[in-house]
Amino acid sequence: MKLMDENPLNLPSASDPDWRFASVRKYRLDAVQPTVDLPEDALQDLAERSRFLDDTSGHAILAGNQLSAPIHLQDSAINLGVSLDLSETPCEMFPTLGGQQFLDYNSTNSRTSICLNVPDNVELQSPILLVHWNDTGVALPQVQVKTGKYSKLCLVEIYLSADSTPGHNIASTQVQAGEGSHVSRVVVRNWNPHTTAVHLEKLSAQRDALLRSININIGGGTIRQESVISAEGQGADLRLHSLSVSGEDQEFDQRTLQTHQAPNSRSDLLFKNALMAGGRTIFSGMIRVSPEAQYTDAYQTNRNLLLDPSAEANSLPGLEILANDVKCSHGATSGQIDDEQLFYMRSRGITEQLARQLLVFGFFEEIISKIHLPDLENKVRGWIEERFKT
Amino acid sequence: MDSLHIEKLNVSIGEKSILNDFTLTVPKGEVHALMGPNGTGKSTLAKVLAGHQDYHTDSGSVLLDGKEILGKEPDEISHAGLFLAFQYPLEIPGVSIANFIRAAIESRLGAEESLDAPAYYRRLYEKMDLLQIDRKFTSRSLNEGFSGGEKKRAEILQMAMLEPTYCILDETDSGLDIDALKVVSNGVNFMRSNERGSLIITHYQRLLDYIVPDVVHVMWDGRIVKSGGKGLALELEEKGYDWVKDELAVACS
Repeated sequence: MKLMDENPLNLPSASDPDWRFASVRKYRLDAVQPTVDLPEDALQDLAERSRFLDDTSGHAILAGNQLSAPIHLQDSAINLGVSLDLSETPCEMFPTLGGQQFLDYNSTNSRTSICLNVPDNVELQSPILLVHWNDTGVALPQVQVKTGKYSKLCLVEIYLSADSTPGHNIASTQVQAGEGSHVSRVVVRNWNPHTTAVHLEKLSAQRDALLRSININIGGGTIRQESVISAEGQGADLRLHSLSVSGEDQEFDQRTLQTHQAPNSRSDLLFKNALMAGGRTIFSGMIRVSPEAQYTDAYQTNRNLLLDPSAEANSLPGLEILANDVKCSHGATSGQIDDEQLFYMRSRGITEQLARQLLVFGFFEEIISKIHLPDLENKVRGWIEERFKT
Repeated sequence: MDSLHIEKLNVSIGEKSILNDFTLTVPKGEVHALMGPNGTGKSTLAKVLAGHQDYHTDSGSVLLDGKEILGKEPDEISHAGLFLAFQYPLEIPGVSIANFIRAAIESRLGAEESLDAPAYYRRLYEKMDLLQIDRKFTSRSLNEGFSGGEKKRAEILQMAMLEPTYCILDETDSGLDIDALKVVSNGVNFMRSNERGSLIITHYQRLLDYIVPDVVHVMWDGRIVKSGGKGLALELEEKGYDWVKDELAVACS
């Protein structure tokens, strides 16, 4: 299957303001090998390697653009009316933050649209796990999630490379949190260094819904993430958190939009980046408050920890407020490890090297500790430690 | 030999000299108080002793039981047996109290040794109880969001766990209400021993009602201008620091 021949992907212009600071040309698809379907044993192997959580309500494991095994849902979840299927219909389009071509491409060509529905009043006690393995070629995963009134869902999406071959991933996720529902989502991206990816997502919350989304970006080459979070009903509460570890030849480009269309809603964004030698990050965030969204609380924070002089963190925070009675703040800081903190730790006998390590991992903990799934938290810590060893 | 001995220490920042021929001996088994007005060099002394790199030592010597610590790295000085309780303890996000102190203790172990974790936690809880620190704090990030009193108690907790030979307490009383002051003082008094010397740096006499010193020193302009018994602190409280400035400093110069 040669996707790029049938449907060429037109790259954005390098001068497009939505792609400021980004290495646009890295997203070209012409160097990418065509997707090949994997043999049965390889699919089984990937399914085996996907046991990241001890206890789930269900899971779907994808390899490239195939299912690696039939989608599994616990009987208890089925009995409650939960559904987890491959969808026949492509996901609804949503506004992007510059990556419209990629969303169109994903929408036109995706064969693996995972559709999760949680009915009204259903509380899933354990998470739904989605694992997307990238192999040769362009993987085009889609995830569509809808939660009913007063339901509860924890969703874990993990994106990985099956091996060290170069890969391309163009993904879309849409989460619609119904009235009063509680949705907690964790996304972990840990591809090999030869992977280029664009992940477009739209997260919306209806009245009184609580939607938390945590992004952990560890491995990959040139990665762009666009997140639009939207408070659509009054009292909606959205929290978007991110932790990225960027090193040599890595670029994490994150664009966000927090929109408030209803009064008394809240959104809280915290994006933390740790940059090692040669690492690059881009954070561009916007808060947009509509005139009717009075009494909005919206916060946006980007913190960059520069661990080497060759690292480069770009930050473009923004606000656009049309209501007159709101609490909004935004801020970006970039800094190195604080000498006074180091002195304090060393004065207790801790060596400089260990003190630095504890401070860096301490910087990550603020995000990792929000996952609230101990086995996944430990997995993430392990992956980050490996990242620091290489 | 068995003392913290500071001999003719001269320290400056840029062109400004902060400590001038500062000389002091704190023998093991004694608690000394160092009092003086703000800006007289007390906190600089504390940081220099702990190995802070920002200060330039022009001359002098600091011997810990006869061993020179001046010019050593902060972690080496800590291993040599000196502990500084900070005036403004730093927040260490993402590192719990338990893991922080554990790292500090493990840094003292040899390559072949390993920490006995259950014994460590028993000892930690025992000291926390003594300092009336809620056990919930063990998993909280060190000093992050702590009140002034909680930070100072966490300092004394670290001191109690590391069991240093010489303790420097820099303005440990600042920002404490009376209840917190009593708790902190209890912790310090509990650690008084023939095997340990302490230097309590304070601006106010109040702390010395609870931690009664063996010797009181008055500092002015980077050196000690008067030393005496615990009565000196009361005299200082009564006469005020103008007395130091107008009489003691003049007499010494």
